[in-house]
Amino acid sequence: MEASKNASSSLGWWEQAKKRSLEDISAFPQEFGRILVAALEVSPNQDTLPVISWCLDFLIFVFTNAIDDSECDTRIDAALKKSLLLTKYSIHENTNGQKAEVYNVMILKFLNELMVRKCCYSVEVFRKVVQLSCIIYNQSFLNVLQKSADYNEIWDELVILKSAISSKLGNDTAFPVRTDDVNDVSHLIGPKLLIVRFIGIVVQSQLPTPPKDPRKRDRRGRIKNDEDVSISMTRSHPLINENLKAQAMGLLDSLLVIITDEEKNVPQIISAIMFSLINIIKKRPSISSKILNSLLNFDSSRRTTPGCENSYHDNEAKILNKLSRRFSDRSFKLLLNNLFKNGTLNNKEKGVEQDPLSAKFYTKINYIHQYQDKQRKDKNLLKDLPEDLQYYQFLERKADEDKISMLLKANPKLSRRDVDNIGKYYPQVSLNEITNADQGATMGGSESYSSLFTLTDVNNDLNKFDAGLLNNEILTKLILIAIERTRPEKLSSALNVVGERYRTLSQRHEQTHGTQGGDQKRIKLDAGNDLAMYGASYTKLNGIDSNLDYVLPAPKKMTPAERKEHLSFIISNYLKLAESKELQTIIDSQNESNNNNQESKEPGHSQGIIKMSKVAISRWDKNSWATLLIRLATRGLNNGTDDEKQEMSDMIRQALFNHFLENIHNRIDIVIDWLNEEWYSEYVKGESLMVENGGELSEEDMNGKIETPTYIIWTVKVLDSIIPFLETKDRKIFIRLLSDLPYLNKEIITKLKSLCLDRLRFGLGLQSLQYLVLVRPPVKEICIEMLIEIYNDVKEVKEDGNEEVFEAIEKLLKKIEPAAVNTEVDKRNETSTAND
Amino acid sequence: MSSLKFCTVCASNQNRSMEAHKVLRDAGYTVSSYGTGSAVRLPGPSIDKPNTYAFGTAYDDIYKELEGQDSRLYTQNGVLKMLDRNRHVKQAPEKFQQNTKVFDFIITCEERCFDAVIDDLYNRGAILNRVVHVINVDIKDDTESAAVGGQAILKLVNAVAAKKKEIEKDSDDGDCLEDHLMDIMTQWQLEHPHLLLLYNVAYY
Repeated sequence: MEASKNASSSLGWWEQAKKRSLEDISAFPQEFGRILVAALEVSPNQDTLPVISWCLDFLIFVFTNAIDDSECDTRIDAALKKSLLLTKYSIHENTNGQKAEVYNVMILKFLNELMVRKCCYSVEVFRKVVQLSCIIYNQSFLNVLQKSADYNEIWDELVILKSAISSKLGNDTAFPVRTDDVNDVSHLIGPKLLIVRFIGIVVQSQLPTPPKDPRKRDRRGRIKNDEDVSISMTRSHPLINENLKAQAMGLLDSLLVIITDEEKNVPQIISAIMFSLINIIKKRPSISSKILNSLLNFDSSRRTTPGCENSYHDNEAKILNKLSRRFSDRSFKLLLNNLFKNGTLNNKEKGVEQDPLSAKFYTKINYIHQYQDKQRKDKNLLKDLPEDLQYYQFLERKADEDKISMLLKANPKLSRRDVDNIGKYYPQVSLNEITNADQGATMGGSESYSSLFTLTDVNNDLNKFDAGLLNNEILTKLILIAIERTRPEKLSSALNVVGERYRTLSQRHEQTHGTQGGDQKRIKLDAGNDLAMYGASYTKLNGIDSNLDYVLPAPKKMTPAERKEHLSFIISNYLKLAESKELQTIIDSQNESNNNNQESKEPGHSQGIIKMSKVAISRWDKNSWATLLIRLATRGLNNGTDDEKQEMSDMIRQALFNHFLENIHNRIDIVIDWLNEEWYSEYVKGESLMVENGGELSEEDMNGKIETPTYIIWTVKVLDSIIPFLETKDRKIFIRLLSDLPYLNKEIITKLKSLCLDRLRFGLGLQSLQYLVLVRPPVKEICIEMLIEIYNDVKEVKEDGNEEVFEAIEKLLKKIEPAAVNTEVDKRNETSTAND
Repeated sequence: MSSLKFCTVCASNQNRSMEAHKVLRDAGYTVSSYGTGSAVRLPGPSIDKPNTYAFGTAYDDIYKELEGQDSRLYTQNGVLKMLDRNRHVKQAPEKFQQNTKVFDFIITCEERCFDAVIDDLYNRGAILNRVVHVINVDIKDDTESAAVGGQAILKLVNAVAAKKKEIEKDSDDGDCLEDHLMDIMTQWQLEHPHLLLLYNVAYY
């Protein structure tokens, strides 16, 4: 064949054929056929890549009707466009006596040749193959549905193409390059964006359309083709059955799984899926609830960004993480906005609150909106917002989890419980150290304590006996008897062997870890010094003077950095304690036994308990750890004016704050305790300072003069972080928080403003203000002032749909400050009278 | 010269998108520009009286009309200078929702326009099945910000085009431009922390 001869050398023949086909409209179908036949004869390999690519471009050009006129200097001639449209039409209609479906089969074969039988050889060809498949899929499926000639053959090719493309989304490769990389969605994103689109088209075609207007049927009773090709277009068809629906649901799941279960955040893929989902939800409303329920689980703050799973401290990783979240969130928001707009979700006119699903999505949109709004106002992505800090905590936990699973994978004997126990009992040991130690052990062979002391033959069955099963008493007896009966020479030679083994292992350990960082080395040397000191004391003790009092060497004074490091250990330890379920069980059982004991004790005994009731923790419960931390922050570390102490207290405050952020609904008690302590501590300190400076002062004198800046800062932070997440059902906890805060001022009250202006949650904001007016007289004036301010603000923009908010504020003001509203009403009346 | 096709979009296709259009065109890129607003709005004699024109009204006509109205005012606020630049770039402001061209990258200058562009692409129905990357660079609508924004957009486009060229050169590498977009945007954002980015994939 002429074409195949020229295929490898140049594109001349092909360009000539294209030119001929476009010059003469009547010759186009024949020329098109010639090009197609020639394309099928080209054997795909590296040399023929340009020709393959050209053919794909040509077919894409033909089937997209040359809509893309931007690449031509002049607009495409109308006649040419018409001819291209005719050609598209001829694919399923007979032209010039030739069976046009042949073209369809040929194109599908050409694509399958590249996708399945041979390979694409380049990403660009792969991309074009998927794009062309997207373009011709509906037309081919329509040919099958309408039982055109060769429809069985078309169907066979279509089935192969469908499975070949859809399988490439996450777990296969289309060409023999970088095969290690294509196993996840974060590589070869370009073609995968089109695969997502292809899957969307297939899903849509294999699910029934909603019932249509019967007036749209044509003379033969068939529903007119309105570009929405689907299985509903045929009533009885040998190839169309229920399996297709199931297959479509499976394909849809392969997209949804990326949104809900995939841990990686690849914004391009996510936005492509969101784009496709909009169309599916709109055209196939019967499955919208399934999609919406999956979408509820989408949360960019629970995904990691490929390339910086474990690092988020340097600026580059920080920006990459934030951009990825920002982009995915925005795609999600765009999708939801679209669904609110087209009525799939209840919008505010229909009443978001009446539909729980819509309300949940509305909260999600609100969260994204507020987060991105803060980013927009800050105009600097490098600055961390509370949402970012929460995300970093998630990344830390995720990194730890990954390390543990790697550790467990490398050591099948190790259980998850073992690792947890190391963390619980040795909180100062980081996971890195455990992992490194584990690697060391595997490298060095048997470095366990049991192998160090084992003197029997390695194959001796006695080695399998676990002495840990015996209780301590029996063990002690056994050891004493054994030592008594052993000959001193044998014992000494055995000890020598163990000593020698220990020395060898230590040397090996030195060699292995000698090159590691200075910190580990320093710790080792320090430990060595301590041992030497103890050794010296011991020799002295054995040698001459047994009457001397020996004291342990005084601990070295810690540097500020070391103190901070230790404080962070303490904080993390307390936080682990707070989450420990086992510890809770122990506490519960102890409390239970204490209760029993108290009941059985004599009445005189209870006096001691009464005396102890003034201490902060009389009985250990699940929040006692928090009391200790709070006291440490407010009183324990903050006695001086030293910056360092302030900084360390702030470390604890930040940790408490972060702990609260992780679960704001269940940890409100801790926050109330903490803020009360903050205020009390600052107030008492301020009070004593005033007394020192000004002598005796009455309580009235002190009121309002003692400042509590730390309390204010953290209260504002807490409110800032809690208000965006509040829902109407959180009324109780929020009003409780407001009522239990020891001191309120204008800055704090102003934080309620956004809540009062929120069209969904204004009730919560206004109820809170009403409550404060009623039960907190000192802030009554501030609350009323703010209400009037909001009233005036809302009044100005009332036409934007704020009527409900406006009416509620007016109603509340009428109740608590009628004068404010009446003046307004009077003014309005006056104006209307003047106009009259 | 890059094979990629770009377009810039702002509200009125006058200031930000046109500045970027000129900068990209001068750098040799295939570029178009559009507005997404309901009409072309230009500053008027007072803040509540903007000059409003339909899309398609030639820049030259607007220039002549405003010059006739109050030459001193419109010279002072820079509107005439802007229109003069625009009439040397293309004939008239175009509405994005009415254009039929196809691009590889659409760069918007405001979140509102970004949302409008994607919304329009949803409505078009993705019949061509062709991927388009929509990027928003948040630029304030004044002359200085538009100039800074235009240069920043050029840097972003340069980075994208350079990567594309590199990939095209080594076609067997199993690499594609999309795999590098996040890295390109991260680097760009680091250099321009005050121009916040947004990004979304859409289809023609």
